[in-house]
Amino acid sequence: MPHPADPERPDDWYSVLGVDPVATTDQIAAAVERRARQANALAVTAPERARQLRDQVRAIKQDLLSGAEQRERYDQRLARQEANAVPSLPPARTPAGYPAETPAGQPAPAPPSPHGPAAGGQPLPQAGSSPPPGAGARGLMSRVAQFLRTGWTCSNCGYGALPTDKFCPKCGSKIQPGLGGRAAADSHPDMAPPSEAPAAQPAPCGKCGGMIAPGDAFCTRCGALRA
Amino acid sequence: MSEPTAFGIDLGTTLSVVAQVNKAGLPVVLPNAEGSQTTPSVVLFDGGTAVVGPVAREALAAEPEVVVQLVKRHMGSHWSFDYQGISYGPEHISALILRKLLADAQLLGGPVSQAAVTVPAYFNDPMRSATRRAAELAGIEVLGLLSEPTAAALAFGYERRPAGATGVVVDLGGGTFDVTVMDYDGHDLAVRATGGDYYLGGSNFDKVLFDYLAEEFRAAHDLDINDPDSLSLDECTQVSHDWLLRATRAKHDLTSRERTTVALQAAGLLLRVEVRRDTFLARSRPLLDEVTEKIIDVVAAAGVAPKDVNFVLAVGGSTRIPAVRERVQEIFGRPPDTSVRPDEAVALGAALFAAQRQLEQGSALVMEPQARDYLANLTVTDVAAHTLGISVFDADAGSDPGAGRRASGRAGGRQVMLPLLTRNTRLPFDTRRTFYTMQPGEQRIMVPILEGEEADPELCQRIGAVVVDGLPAFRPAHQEVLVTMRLDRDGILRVAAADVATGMAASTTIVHAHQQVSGHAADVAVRAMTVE
Repeated sequence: MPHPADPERPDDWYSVLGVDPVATTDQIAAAVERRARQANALAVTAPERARQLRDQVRAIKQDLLSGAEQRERYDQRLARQEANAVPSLPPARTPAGYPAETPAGQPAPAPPSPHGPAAGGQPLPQAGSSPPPGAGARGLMSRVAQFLRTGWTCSNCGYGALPTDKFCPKCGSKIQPGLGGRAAADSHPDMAPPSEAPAAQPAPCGKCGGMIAPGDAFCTRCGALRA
Repeated sequence: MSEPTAFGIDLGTTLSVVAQVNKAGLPVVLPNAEGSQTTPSVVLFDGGTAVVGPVAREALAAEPEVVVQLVKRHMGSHWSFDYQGISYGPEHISALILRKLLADAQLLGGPVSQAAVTVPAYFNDPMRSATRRAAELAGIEVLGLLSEPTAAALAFGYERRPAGATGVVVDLGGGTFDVTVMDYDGHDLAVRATGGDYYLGGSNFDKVLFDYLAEEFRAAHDLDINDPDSLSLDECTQVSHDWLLRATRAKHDLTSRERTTVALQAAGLLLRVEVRRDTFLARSRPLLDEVTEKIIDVVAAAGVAPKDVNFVLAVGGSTRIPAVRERVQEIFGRPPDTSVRPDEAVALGAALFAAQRQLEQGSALVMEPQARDYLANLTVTDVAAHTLGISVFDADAGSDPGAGRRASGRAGGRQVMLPLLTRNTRLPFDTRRTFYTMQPGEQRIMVPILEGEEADPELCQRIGAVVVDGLPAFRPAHQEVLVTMRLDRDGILRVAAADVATGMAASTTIVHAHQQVSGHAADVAVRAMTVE
């Protein structure tokens, strides 16, 4: 069974699916759909295989069915791998905001991902583009769904804050209550969280005296930076 | 003007049944177009046609990936079945089953579109709402949702008319398990306590046998169907469904026989496995223990001593398993009453309930007068199966240094579950709470709803959120909003909100945690499909 989720050594989804590398999106979607159904059908009798299949389907959807650009990127990675049998060359990093593994609509109960709104159940708008028009109801639903999983979302860095947090524990910006953050296109990568390793101990906040939890860079009560 | 009587539909995990009260005032099962009392809840997708019933079940062994079974286990979840570019949720598959049941019932029962649909007593609001939506998608005007054990008791009580009796219904179906304790006095049926498990049923016992067969096969031939090197994906899918069907047949065999033989085939290898009843019993002990534990729990919650129980009903096909009956007998000191048919009692009760709701709405049903009188006076009171609440910050609660969560790492206070509706409260039940806007100019607030018996919100399930919208604009923060939550008599959550300062009503929406975001294409497809 191929091992998912190593962007440097992509699996050859075309041969996994048994489709031509130049297959149309519809052809790929049909083959992926069949695999998803097989995963359903095996859920009870062969749970281990079903789980692997579901992971695979998720990864294939991510690589091949999330838009032409995404597929092109995957094709390039695949071609690179085939060209170099030794995968030691550093691959060209994909642009910031390369979505995390979690695909749209999967309510993964995982801890809030620092990858930000990618886990939010909506495909990420490409950086610089505006959110798709007419996404009102869907947008609301997916933000509600995100809230249910992670609490409020920081509108600056996309970190999933707790409902009680007034300031983002990751970047210290004030959390705007309402329905989660703005679209990812609005985020400021220059205001990214400090890059040192997260503290392992809780510490009192130097400004307001509240407790800063382990792993938090900022006080969630007043937004002050951890001393 | 006389009206036809509405249908009672038992939408089961493995089998579904439709019943109707006839002119003599008796509930009768309406056979399907194939002439059977029960219809397998299995759907085969074949282009623009959905085949429901025995044909679909037979197709499981040949082309399992276009067949959906046990969909009831996924009600209210994000599970989906993708076919020809459309993603069908559990309610869509259920709607296809209901369309077949309705169409067949109309052949015998007349042009009726009203029905009562049963759900496991343990089903929570998202699951009940999904069931209701499935019925609506199928073109059914839903008169009400009724808990399955309550329906079975109605069917039993209709014949016996018990006076001042306390009864227990043990309902072990294909996928779900319910225990309900009730008081039954003439026209009044009132549930005292209920509990169960929405993932315990006949299919768990099938899986026990399946695992045994797979182990035996592996021991004999060193072949594991989970191993991709032994079986291709297609082979694995076929073999496992073939074996699962054989396991189910063996289970049925073992209700009347002490031993049975199963022939297995995979990758050109053959094996005959003898399964003895005591092997099955030993391997299903954890499931049986769970059954015992749940029954004892619910009986205790109802405040009844097992010896004071006047009748014990066993319904659901899985109560035919001899070991299940033995467990019931051990607890109550008497064998369960078998005068109601385990597969049909729920549908019969649903038919009575449907007729009662029709009479309540003022329908002019033509029926034998005594029966009509009984139904017109019948009252059925159910209880909430789960505690519902919200997560609030309790500043007085001590922090818990043992837990690694950020919330509890802070000095003083932590999030706690504040129950609004407690388990086993009689329905309908209302509660009111005041919430506040947090920011100046805020026009919308959101209240997450938790379900569970634990004080720690992390241990409760977030079932959804209530969104209150349309509050007046341009105001400072901390405006009061009065939210009324009501669990109606069918166990469905209803919410209303009013702005305290202006007295204006605000719009509310309940968003379920797993609600499908893109269900519209499937809604259209389900209505357009040919159902056979």
